[in-house]
Amino acid sequence: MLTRIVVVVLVWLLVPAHSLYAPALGASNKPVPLPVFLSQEDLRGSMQGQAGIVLDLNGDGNEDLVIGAPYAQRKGTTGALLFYLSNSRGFPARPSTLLEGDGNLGWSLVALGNVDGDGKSYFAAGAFSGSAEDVSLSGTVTIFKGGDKPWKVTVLSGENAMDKFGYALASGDLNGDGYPDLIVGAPFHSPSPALYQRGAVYVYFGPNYDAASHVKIPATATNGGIGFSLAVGDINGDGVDDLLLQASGKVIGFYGAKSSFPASPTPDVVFSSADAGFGRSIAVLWDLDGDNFRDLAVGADQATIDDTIDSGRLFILRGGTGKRIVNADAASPNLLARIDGEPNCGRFASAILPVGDLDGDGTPGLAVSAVHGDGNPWPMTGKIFLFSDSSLTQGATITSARAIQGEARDMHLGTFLALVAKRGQLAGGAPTENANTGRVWFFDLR
Amino acid sequence: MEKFVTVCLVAFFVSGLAMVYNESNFSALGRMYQPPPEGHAVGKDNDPEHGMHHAGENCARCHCMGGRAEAYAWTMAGTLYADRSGRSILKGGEIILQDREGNVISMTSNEAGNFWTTAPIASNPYTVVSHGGPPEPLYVLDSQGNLLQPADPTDPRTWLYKAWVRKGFSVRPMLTIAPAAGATGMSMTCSMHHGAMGSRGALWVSPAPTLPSYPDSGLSYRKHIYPILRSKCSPCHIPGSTMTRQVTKADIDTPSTSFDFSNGLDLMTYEGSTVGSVVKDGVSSAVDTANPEQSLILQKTLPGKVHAGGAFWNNRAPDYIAIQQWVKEGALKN
Repeated sequence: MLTRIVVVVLVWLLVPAHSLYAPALGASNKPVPLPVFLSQEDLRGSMQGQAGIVLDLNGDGNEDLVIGAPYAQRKGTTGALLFYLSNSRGFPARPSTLLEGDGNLGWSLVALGNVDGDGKSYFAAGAFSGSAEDVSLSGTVTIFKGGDKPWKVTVLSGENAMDKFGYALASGDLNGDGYPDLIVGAPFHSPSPALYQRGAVYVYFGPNYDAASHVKIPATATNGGIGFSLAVGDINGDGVDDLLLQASGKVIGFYGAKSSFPASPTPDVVFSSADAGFGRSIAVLWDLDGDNFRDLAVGADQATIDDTIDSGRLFILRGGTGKRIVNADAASPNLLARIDGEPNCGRFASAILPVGDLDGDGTPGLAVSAVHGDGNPWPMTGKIFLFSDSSLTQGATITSARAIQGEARDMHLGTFLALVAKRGQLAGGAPTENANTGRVWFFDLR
Repeated sequence: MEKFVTVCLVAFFVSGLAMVYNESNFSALGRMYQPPPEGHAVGKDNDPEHGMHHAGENCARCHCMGGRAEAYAWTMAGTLYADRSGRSILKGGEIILQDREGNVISMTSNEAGNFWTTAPIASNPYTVVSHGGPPEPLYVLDSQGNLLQPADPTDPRTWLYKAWVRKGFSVRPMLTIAPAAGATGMSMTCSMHHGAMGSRGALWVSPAPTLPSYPDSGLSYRKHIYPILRSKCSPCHIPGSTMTRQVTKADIDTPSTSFDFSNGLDLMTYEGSTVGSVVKDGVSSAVDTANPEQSLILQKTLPGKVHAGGAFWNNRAPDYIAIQQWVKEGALKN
């Protein structure tokens, strides 16, 4: 009996309270790190938190968490996925499952949703230097079906070595059949010698994600540098999702169509800006201006602000229908807001995520990260800004946002953002914290 | 006659390898085959700071005069990887720079793959910059061509160097004479172009094979050979223009010392390529199925051979044996 008491006391003393459950954090926004399964030494250099998604893996109605650790080194392989199955008290102290992979598995992640209707969500994980049966080092994307222990559905691969297939992922229903489709970026693919390393984007249609019937959108002479950044959502109001992707200095869009996708090899909509990094992040928002079209946010994380490079800028652009060419640098009805980052090389708008109602006015808000933003007390830790719907209007400034500062050195806070909706929390990846060991932080949005 | 030409060529290249390197031949062509300097203390120019952060990013954005970390202004820095794809970082690799005055700078990569130094890099008073347009001299000549005003020695664009990376017996030279701040005046370091996700691939060196294993027979171009070529032969042997950048007065004088560092060979395509007016031979022209060991892609990259891109393997290395076997099997595009 005495032994039991000693053990209980020792456990209570040795295990920090915050490592047991992801807590509700209250108004102070004090961030709490997500504990890890492997020791810090095992995951040293793994960059856990490079990617992350929130989804119901096992169909129990709770939101679970998948974290990518693309540089985890284990038994000669590189890359891992960490699964945290939640219960009513939140996320567990340690991963429920750890899946080791190779080829930098976990660089990218995307949730596909409840594809087969049993409540267990599908998701896809990218390994930018993964190898497949008939091609090596091309990059691969593995589609998993959720469960207490997720299992592999299929593996998709790039065309040629070092295409970095799987660098970026997105999902949405582009052909209107009710199933989520998977979109994969391969930014170093070469469609032809003249378009060496200019990139390609591939669309795989649910529910089967058949590699043989995919659609390829290759770089062209006018739209190169594609495959680094993707987003999906219905911006033209036809009820079918549209595909938006970064091209050099532009964001180009292809409207989804129930007949076939894309209806034309020529983009339906083009947004352009002279700002460096325009399109680094893209997100389809809600209808901000009441015109019945969902609007979009585009980040230019390397934009120069007040002569300071890499400071970043956020554009809020109007959705609409028909063929459109929009210059985001010029004042027009298409430009709903343009928000400058802090002039400190913070790379504002590195990632963008629509979140829930932040200010209780019944309208959604927006989380925007600056992965090099100044923290407290360290500079360049990373920073996350929370904008309410009412602060995303013409003339808005970054000062109208609520800011969350990183607290650890060189952590790249906000590399990924994910919403834990039922708990009213925001998850933010910090993959370079503690010498690239990485960590995930949670913040209370309520 | 053929033998005579070969002997002359070998003599030329051997004399090139044995030549004295000084400021008179400080150009891309003059240093084309220069082996790395020897006899220095490895890592002698490492800066003592911590340096575990921002691996693969452009260090000089902050670590420069006027930058956010100007208290730690570096002359050169970057991140070293074990492979061109940036699959994993490399600890303990050596990065060697030599400037026109013969100064040797040696750094070693740390646990994050990072390296950095504050060692000065000699300025070239005859620096020119070129970045997609005609070269622009940073110096001023009088009407007789005499130097009236040298390039500003505090301008990092005038800090020119030749570089090598080394790990074990594996050594990879940088072909061009590079400016420490690029051509546009933006501060940059190796990671600007050679980050893990950079357009030219990661800065890398390793004697390790490209793939973990190869079959003894039935080699596939797509699965086994192309990964080797894209890992080890780019960014030199790629489609399109691959002329060295013009960085000194010598480069814009006649005869030009700028050269095509692909030597007309595109190893990213099997058949060869035509991009605009640039026509290049492909992989199929660099193999000899009758005498596989004599294939250009095997011969050029053995130790002791004349190859500006360095030596990649010996004839017992898995990559070498895989290519050799594939050539023996007909060098098919399979």
